Amino acid sequence: MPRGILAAICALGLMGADAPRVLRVPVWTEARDGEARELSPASLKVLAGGGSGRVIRVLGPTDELLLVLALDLTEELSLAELAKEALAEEIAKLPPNVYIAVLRAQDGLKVLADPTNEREPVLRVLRELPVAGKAGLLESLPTALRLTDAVLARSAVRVALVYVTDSSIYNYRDDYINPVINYSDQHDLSRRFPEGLIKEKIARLDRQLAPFQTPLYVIHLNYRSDRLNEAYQSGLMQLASALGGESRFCRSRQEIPEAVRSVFTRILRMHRVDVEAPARVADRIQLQLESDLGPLSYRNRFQLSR
Amino acid sequence: MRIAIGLVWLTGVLAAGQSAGSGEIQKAIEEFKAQSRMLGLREEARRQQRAPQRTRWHGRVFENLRNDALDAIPHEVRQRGGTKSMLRRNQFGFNLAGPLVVPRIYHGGRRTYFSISYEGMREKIARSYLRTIPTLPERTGDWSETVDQAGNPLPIYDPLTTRANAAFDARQPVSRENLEYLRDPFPGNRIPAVRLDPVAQRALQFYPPPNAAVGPFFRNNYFIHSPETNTADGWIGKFDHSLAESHRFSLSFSLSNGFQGPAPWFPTAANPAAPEREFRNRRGSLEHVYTISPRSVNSLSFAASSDASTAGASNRRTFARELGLNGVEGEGFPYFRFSPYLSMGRAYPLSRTARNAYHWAENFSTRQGRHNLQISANYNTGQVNTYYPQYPAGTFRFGAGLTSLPGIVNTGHAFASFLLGLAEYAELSIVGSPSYFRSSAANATLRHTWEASSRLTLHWGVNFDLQTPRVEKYDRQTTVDLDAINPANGRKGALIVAGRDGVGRAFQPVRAKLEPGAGLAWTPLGNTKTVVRASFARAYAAIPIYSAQWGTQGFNGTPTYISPNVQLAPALRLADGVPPPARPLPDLRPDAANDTVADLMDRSSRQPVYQSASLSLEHEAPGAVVVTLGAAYSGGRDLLVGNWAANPNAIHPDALRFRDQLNDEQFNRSLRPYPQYKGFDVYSSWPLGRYQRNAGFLRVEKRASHGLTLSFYYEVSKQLDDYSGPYGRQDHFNRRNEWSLTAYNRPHTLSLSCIYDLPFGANKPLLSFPDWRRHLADGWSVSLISTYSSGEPLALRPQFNNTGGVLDTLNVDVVPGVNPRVSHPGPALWFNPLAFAHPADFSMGNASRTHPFLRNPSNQNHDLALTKRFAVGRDRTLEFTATGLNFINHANWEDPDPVIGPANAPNVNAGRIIGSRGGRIIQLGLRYSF
Repeated sequence: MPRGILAAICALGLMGADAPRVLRVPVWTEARDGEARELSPASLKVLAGGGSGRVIRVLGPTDELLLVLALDLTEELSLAELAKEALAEEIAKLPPNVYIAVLRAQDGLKVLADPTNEREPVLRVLRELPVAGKAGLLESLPTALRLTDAVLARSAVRVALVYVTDSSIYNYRDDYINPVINYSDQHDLSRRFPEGLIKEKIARLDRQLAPFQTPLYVIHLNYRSDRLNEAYQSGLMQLASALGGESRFCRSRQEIPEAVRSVFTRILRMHRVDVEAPARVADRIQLQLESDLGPLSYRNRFQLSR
Repeated sequence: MRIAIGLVWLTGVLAAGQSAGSGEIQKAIEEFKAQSRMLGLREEARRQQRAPQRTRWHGRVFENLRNDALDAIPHEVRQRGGTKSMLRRNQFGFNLAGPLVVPRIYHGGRRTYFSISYEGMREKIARSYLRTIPTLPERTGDWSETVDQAGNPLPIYDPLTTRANAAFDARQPVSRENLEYLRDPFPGNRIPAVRLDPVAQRALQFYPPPNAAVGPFFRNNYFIHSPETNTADGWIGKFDHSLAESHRFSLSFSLSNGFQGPAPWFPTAANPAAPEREFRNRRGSLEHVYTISPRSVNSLSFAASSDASTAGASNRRTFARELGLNGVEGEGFPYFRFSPYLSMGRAYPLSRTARNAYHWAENFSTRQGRHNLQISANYNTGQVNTYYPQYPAGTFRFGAGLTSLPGIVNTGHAFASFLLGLAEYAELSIVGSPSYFRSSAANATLRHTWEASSRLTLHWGVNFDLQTPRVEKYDRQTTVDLDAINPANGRKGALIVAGRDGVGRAFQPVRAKLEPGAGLAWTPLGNTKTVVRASFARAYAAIPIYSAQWGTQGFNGTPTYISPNVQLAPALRLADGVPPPARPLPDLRPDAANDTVADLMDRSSRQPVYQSASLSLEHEAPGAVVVTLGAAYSGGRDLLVGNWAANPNAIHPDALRFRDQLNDEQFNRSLRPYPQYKGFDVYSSWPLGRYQRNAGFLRVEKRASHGLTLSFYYEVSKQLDDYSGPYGRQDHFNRRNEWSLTAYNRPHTLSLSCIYDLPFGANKPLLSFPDWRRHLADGWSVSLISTYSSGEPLALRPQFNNTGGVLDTLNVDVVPGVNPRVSHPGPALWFNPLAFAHPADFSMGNASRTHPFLRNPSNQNHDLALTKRFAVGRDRTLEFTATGLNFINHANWEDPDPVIGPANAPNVNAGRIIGSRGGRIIQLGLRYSF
């Protein structure tokens, strides 16, 4: 079959996959006694967009997990190496039901390692990844989520996307910093609030990413406190939070292993709850989940149309 | 559809042959592979892709608009009765970025990327200033109504009536009761029309009449409210190409052309404001990054820049000739100075300068175990090509002395001396050719970071810095050598020429310095939430090359005309013209700079050195709040200072005992270390300053939660030095006496910055509409920047400096037992002027250069931006921004009048504040991003 036709069929298949209005919700049990408990469909009550939704499937920490690791390491060798070491340490500890894929985000998204539960190939890829190039997190996010969401939609496994980055907003190929062009223009007030471009990009990404359902995690190795980078980092936090994940920003080298450990722990504890949304609700859905097992934390806002 | 999906899955499975895990994870793996192939994320997929890729370019177009119709009338304009302050500003441009595509030839894909931006600006913006100029009667010689700063009549004396006083007692100081010279006031305090200098009269046709009466006593009578006109057009382009993964090339350039037309202070050629200026900036850089291995990276870069400016192109007439001022052939309007009135003309009215810089950098980073090593080398070379005459049409300074009662302050007036054409000092700049200065610097740096343990990281580094001194392409440099013998008087101090008589091409040595630095980051509690940081660094500053042609005196002449006694005889009369230079140029003889203010370069190896140390404690509190508490020290010595703070030819203050005898130029010069020179021009390059700064700070950052990012910063600091200040140093022989608060030290500064995405619209808790209303509710955000700073130290000065030229700057006296504070400081009275006194004639003031606790009014400013984004399809945005600068329309008070008058004529305005400044400015912006 010609590859073009195959690709077209695949694309059509992807579009069709959204036909049943299914929400794949990352959920965590926050048990009062500190112990994580496994959820079951029977233990959950769902309210979606004002109507009651139906729990189709629940996958818990003992089910398979595909952890997609996207590395965007462009700036400082020592921080990147620390992160690689911390990742290697956590990966070595992962149970066999966790599969890892590795992507490189700088200079355009690229697959470095296909999903596997063998650790050595992943560790080798990590070791060999160079720290160079231009930051690629913002540009690569929609594509990476398109990839992970496709996997999420096609298979009954838990999926999480983790970005590990040390990027500065000044190291993007695209212009988000609005540099001074006319040095003789002494009354330029348009750069008084320089975060406008990055805020606009984040707002656009927020809109673009809203339909995706894979939880996003961001580990930033080098927190910066200038106004532009603060806006950028706040934007990353906003995007991760909107997709049901979380972000960690390291202000010192010592924080890096702890940040990696905490994100991995969070992902391992993640449930995937598939909920069928009521037929006649709007594309933007507010979700409420309740469980007899105790309080839950979960992504509660979804957008179905793309 | 399901058949298709199944087909994809099956294809993947067959290709991969993966067997481990359940069926679901196998499906996931195959889906991953299939999708990543489809999305072009795999190397083999990219290679197989033959069809032309779709080019996705993106960017933005924008317009920012400012117009006075949107603004508040500035407080300073409203207070002068103005109802409008013109403002028209348009700033517009675009950006386009994406893969580089040459149709049918090349598609950059992910390998070659470009970004190009254009920005243009057109503006007219009103400026306002309040100054003092002569009254209309004064211009005609009628001083009968003129009063001093206390409101007492100001007598103008006729220099032609000067005669020695036979009754003078030389053992007593000069006073009204014991005058050395007698002089008669003009009858009725009016200068007869026949006595008015014809050149001065012609020049006055270029001097505008008063247009305000703010006072007191006819002062502050000229309100300038005129527009400046500026334009600019610029481009920035960046190209980025990666080659074989491990090699990356980046190319960037920027071009900008600008025009600055400052607000004219006079509507004539005698305008003393800055001249109009054209700019041309060009920059380019090329960088190659080679990733040798995952743990080693090398980068090599080259950058070049050229910044050129031309000033005063439209003012190139020879006005001196038109005024009948003979002997002056230079272009531009002559610079007539008669303080305290606004001058006519200005220094540096015409200039052409190009600054070119070339920079090579090599940087290698590697990591081995817990050690990170960075080795870098840089080489910079700079050129300054400049034509920068200071006084091409001459400067003519007029003092009160020639129309005063000799030896008695608060008599006579500089402008009256101008009306008589009697200059006390004149100088011409004769520049035969531009100068082509060159210098270079190289450095090599080693930096080492060691993660000593999981709690402690140490880093240290050392930079070896090598700087070559300034040379001139054609060796057209001269300076005074303070050790060479001057043939004219056999004293030390003679002109030397670069590249001649055993002198090298440069006057200064090559400087080689080591700059160490070290620091640590420590988590003392074993808890990553708390970090202690400490650092230390020592650095040497480069000696800059300025645009002026300082240090070329033998090649470019500065004929100087000096009054033998500023109270008795002029340097020259305007009507007589300027005598021709005694010698033709170039004049490279050792005595060529005698009787001038000679250019003097420091020939030692001293170099400004800075040291800094800091300690901070950073703690991440619950709720994503980070609190940092810190302290910092910095200090420096051998900082470069200018003529206001350095005078190697100063007379020791002990000489003040000679009192009025010091007004005799010959006697005065005999007391100087280098009597053959009137003075030295060290042009902000004399390494003499010291400073010390101690600061503590608190920073609180609240990371984004519920759309809110907040940053608060407070700093308390104390900075002292021995050189800064608006008026300069009083005592050049006792630096300890000059150690006081830095003139610009603001002990308390506070800033608050916040970005808040309003909680409306999609994915927000409020007003999340599914229908058309979402266009109204979505995409609102607010940004705020507020700053507050306490005032700078008060710097007081006496009305008169009657020290015979011994003290360039005179401090005031402190009156013991009088509280300098007032109970409710305000515009009516900010400080108590009675706590200070005018020093007696020929004595130093005993107050410090800047007051230890009195400060000027504080400043605050609050800026706000409100943004609304409209989604246009999936990938496009229309963004509207309204920015309010000083949006609460706060008025910051002006500084109080710092001039302390003598007891018999106190300055009635001392301690008072005239008006306030500031006003709300609104800028509207529209940006379409695609």
